[in-house]
Amino acid sequence: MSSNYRNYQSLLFRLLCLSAFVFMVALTACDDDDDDPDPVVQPTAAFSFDANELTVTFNNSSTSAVSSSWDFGDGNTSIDRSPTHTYEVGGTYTVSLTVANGTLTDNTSQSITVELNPENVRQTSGFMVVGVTPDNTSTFVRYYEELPSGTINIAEGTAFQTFFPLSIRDGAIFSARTDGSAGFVKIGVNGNGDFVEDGIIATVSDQSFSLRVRDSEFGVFHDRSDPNILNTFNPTTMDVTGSIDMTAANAIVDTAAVRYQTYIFRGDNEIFVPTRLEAGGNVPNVVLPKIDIARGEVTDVAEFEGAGDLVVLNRFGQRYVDEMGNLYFYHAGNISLPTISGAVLKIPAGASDYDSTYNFKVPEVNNPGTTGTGSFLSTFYYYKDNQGFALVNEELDPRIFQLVGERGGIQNLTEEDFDQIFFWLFTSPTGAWVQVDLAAQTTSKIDGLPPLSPFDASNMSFVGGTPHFAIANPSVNAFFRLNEDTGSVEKVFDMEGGNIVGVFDLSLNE
Amino acid sequence: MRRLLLLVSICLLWMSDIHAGDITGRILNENGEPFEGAVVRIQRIKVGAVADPDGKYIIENVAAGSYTLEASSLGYKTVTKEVVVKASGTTRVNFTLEADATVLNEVVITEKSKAQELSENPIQISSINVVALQNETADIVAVLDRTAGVRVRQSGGLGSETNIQLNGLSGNAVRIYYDGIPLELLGGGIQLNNLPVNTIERIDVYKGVMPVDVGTDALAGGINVVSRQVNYDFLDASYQVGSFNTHVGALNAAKKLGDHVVFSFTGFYNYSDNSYKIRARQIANFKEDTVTVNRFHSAHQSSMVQGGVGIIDVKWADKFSYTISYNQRYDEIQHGVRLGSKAVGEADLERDVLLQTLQYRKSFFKKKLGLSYSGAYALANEAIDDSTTNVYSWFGEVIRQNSQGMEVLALPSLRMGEIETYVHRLNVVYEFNENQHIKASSFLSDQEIVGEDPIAPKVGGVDPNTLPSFLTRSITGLSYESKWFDQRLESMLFGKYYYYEQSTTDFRPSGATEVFEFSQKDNETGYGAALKFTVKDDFFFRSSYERAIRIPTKEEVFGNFLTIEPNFFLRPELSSNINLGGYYKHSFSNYRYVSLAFNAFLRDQTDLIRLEPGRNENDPARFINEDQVDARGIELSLEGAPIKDIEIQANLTLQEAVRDGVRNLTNTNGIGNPIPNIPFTFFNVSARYQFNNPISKQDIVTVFGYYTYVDEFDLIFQTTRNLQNIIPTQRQLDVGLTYKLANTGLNFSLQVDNVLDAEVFDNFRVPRPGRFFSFKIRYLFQKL
Repeated sequence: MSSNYRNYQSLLFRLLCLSAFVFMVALTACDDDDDDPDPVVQPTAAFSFDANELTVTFNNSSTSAVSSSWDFGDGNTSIDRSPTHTYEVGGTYTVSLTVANGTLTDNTSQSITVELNPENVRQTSGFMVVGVTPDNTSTFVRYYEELPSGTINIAEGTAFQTFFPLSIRDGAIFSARTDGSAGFVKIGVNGNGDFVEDGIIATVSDQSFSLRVRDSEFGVFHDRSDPNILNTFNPTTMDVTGSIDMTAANAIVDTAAVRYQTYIFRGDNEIFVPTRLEAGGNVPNVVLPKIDIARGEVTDVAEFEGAGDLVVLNRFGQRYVDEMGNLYFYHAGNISLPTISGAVLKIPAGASDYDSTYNFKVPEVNNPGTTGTGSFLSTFYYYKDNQGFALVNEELDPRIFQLVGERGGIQNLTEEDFDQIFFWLFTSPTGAWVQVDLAAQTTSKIDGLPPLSPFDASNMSFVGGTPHFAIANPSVNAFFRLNEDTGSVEKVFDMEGGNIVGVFDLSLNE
Repeated sequence: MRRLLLLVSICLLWMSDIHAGDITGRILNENGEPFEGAVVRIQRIKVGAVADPDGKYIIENVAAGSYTLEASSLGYKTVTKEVVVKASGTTRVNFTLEADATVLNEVVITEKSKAQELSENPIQISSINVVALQNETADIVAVLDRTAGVRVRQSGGLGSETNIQLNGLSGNAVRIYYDGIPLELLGGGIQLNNLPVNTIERIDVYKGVMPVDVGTDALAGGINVVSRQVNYDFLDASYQVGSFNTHVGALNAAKKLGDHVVFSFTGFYNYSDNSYKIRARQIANFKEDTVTVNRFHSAHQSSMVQGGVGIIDVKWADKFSYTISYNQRYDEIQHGVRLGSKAVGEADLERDVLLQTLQYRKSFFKKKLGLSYSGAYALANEAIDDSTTNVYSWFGEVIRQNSQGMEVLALPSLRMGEIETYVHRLNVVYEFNENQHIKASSFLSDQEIVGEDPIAPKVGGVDPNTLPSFLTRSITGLSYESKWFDQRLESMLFGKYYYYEQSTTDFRPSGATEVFEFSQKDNETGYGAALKFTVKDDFFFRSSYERAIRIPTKEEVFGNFLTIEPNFFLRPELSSNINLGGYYKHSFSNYRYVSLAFNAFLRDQTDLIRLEPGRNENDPARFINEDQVDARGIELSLEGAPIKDIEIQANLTLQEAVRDGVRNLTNTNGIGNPIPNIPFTFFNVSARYQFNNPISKQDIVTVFGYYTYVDEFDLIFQTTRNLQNIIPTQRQLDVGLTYKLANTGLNFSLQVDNVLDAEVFDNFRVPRPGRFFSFKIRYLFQKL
């Protein structure tokens, strides 16, 4: 009984509320009817704004305005009363507001300046200059908006435990992680010229050094902990997007542990992957599996037989495919089989296998005197119009001959003798960058360019599309530009505080 | 009898200088009773006498002049008085000695302990009297870390690798000796990090030059750990339990048989899980998470038993002793030399050592000629196990399999090694008179290293581990020490000849067709001089110069077969050092005092040997030569007792070591850069307060605190600050309390290390334990 009584009371209360509401609505309606015949009032336009970096929130303080029309000064407009607008780029804009009440209008405009917080800006041009202490413990990197001149002290730059540039895309450099941690990092330069980590890919193996970026959405890397898997990633987000099974390529090399040196993109669907054994093993062939991206697997494996151990420095970027789609790869030669010369090899456009007739022995062509005594080619880049550049040994350090003589032949060299020979090869300036004509298979010396070690870690680059060379030897530590009109080099700047490694142009995508 | 005494007196009178007088007086204890056995000494000339049953003493034939006289006895506070001795006649000085709460039930044989005397040697020494610290739970590493100019960095908890920084030197450049024999030659079972404080008497820290009869091929400094050698019955047992399942037990005992024979026993057992929390990076699906985990594969266990017999004061020897000991240790490996993203879950190292030592000392010709020999023979076995296919996460779970089958090395290893070591040292001292003596020392060590690894790759059918390697070094030194100007100026001149020879086998060749053997031998000459000038008691200056050579050790050449790889091409390191130091102490009434010590050094080094971590986080480290290095620094130490029973100590070190040249490059890049991974600025402050328990008056309570500060320093060379390359500023506070029960020999202590649970780091930014509790109980019985 009591429950029914309570329901009854509740119903009564609701009825009372409803009637009060109806009464109030009626009263309000009467008011409106009273105002309607008033004449139209002249509106006055006024606004204030609040800018947060590129996003501006407008506060419309106009009076008697029925409609508003905004022109943000960058070609965009709005008819919201108090809109929020985000500008594409920083700058000063004239914002005008037009308000109307019937046929009456008013207009006001203000000049506003918006800018990104420099920490959120990312440079898309400029240069990263890299130098290293002679003992390799610190790598210094400095950002320059313009290519420097004179003498720069690289030690004033930011120090990294390692800095190993692999690709550049959209102003960011992709490197092995800079604090010794396992994996890869994307480093941008902010508006203050400071380096910023814009994402990492953590790998299991801290020996993972191979990654290449094809475009803003697609890149490939290898976590060296698993020889059978390559992974793809999105360079913009640094998210890992998939994997590629390399078992087929691995099986051909016929050993458990292989590693992948670099990734050569040809067109949108092909990746060639120079493959070599992990430390301690040698493959007698230059093995270049081809991945079909659409199928996500290895479809072909090119092998160039009898080339010897593949001593190839894992350099930066791309530059292996010419305008026609011909792919030029190379091998370094063989320290223990000096009869095998380093050479540039060719996979013709459309093909997946080597042109077996193309074996361009660059160091032997450059100096026939090196034939049979050890001819090395440690780096090659394709330039344009059948032209490329290669780092070769011009001669062999005489100490190597002496040591081999003392041991009574190469077959008697010990592992430590090889270490000593490599030390000489890596330190004595007996090498040079030479220009190569891939069609004629000829080489030409670069006038005025100082010598360097044939296995030097310093690099050439294509700053502004022009060949440049970083040279560090006991008497030179500088960056040079090739003047293509005169065919000789000009010094761009000298470096102190560290040995020059290279200059990376952030406006290039490689 | 009376006539004999008269005769002696007449002789003495006749011998005595006519410008000399006697000092005599009486010594009483605080109750006014005669104090038999109390010692009175004249500080500067170190002449003294002992009180007779009536408390009377006499020091005869003291040259006219002003002196400071000290009276002291075990367990009593030392009292000093200034006296003026007249040309003839007797000066009377009486003393009353008061019991000292700060002296433990320990033997302090002279009023100036051996430790203090060493601190006044022309060679820069500070000596740490460990006896006073034995009730605390601190280990040797912690004790050293609180010493002026010494910084000990440890890569983890109990049993972990230590790196000592002293006088701007670090790593193995700071030679550590155990009773004068380089510690690394004793088989590796005994190390600073596992030797309990209770088994040692004192630690001598040498800065500048080392005396020829202690030093070998040390550069500008070294540490000599002096084990306890007593000639009375005693039993000292202690047991400590602490956080992370840490247990440390030590037992020392000696029994005297008759007047000449003492049997001794020393043993210890250490265990710790070292399961302290660390922040590690766990990788999954190409993402990295920072996780806080307990270390799960970091245990350390070690033990030693040693028996010895000592024969003293017999016809054929002043002292002869023989010890035989067996020690073993087991260490789990949690990660490489850096804390990487990879957790190691199974690799471990085991070692056991059978060690025998022999010491002989005898003096001839009325103690003018002293001869001593010490020798050691160590047979060490070590086993590496890095052979699992399991891959562990930081949570201790197996997450994957690794087909290659190892965690730390590039190839799996089950290496068993044997190291046989002989060490000989012969010292001869000849005293021309009390102001001049010469010392000659000859040191020889010989090591043979051989092993086998059943799963290592064979080279031409041969396991390269089975081919032996040899390391030999010999150091011969001669020094002349003299005192001038009323013993105010002390000088030392010395020369050393170094010879070393090594032939090494590359036990882990990769892809080789024959086993590589490398041999080198060379000799070097070193020399130096040291001077000390005493202005007055407790106020002196000293300086030294040395051209010193250090020969690489076995560990530097061979690595540790696991996280440190070999470098067969290491060259000896050479250094020219200049040291300048001074000390001043001012005493006030009522046992208050203040003292200031300073030391400055300049050093020019060639081929400095240092440990270089691998470029990538899981890479092995190795020892390398740094071509040319200039180092300089200054150390200050302030000590004082602002009021009775409170002691405060503060030490500050400022130093730098910069690269001065690179041998193989003619361009000057890198010159002026600091050598990375060396702290520049560090200090520590400690305070102790001792009081009698207000309830049980005889019981003594000590409370103490230690604060250590190490300024931020760089992991690699940099001029702009990149946080990736920084070892952050570290602050650690340790506090504790000891309670000594009167008349029982029992003592308890409670200590909390790193009270604030601050993040502290060690070599290459490896985290050290957070807050750590330990409790120690000690029982000491002795019969003098």
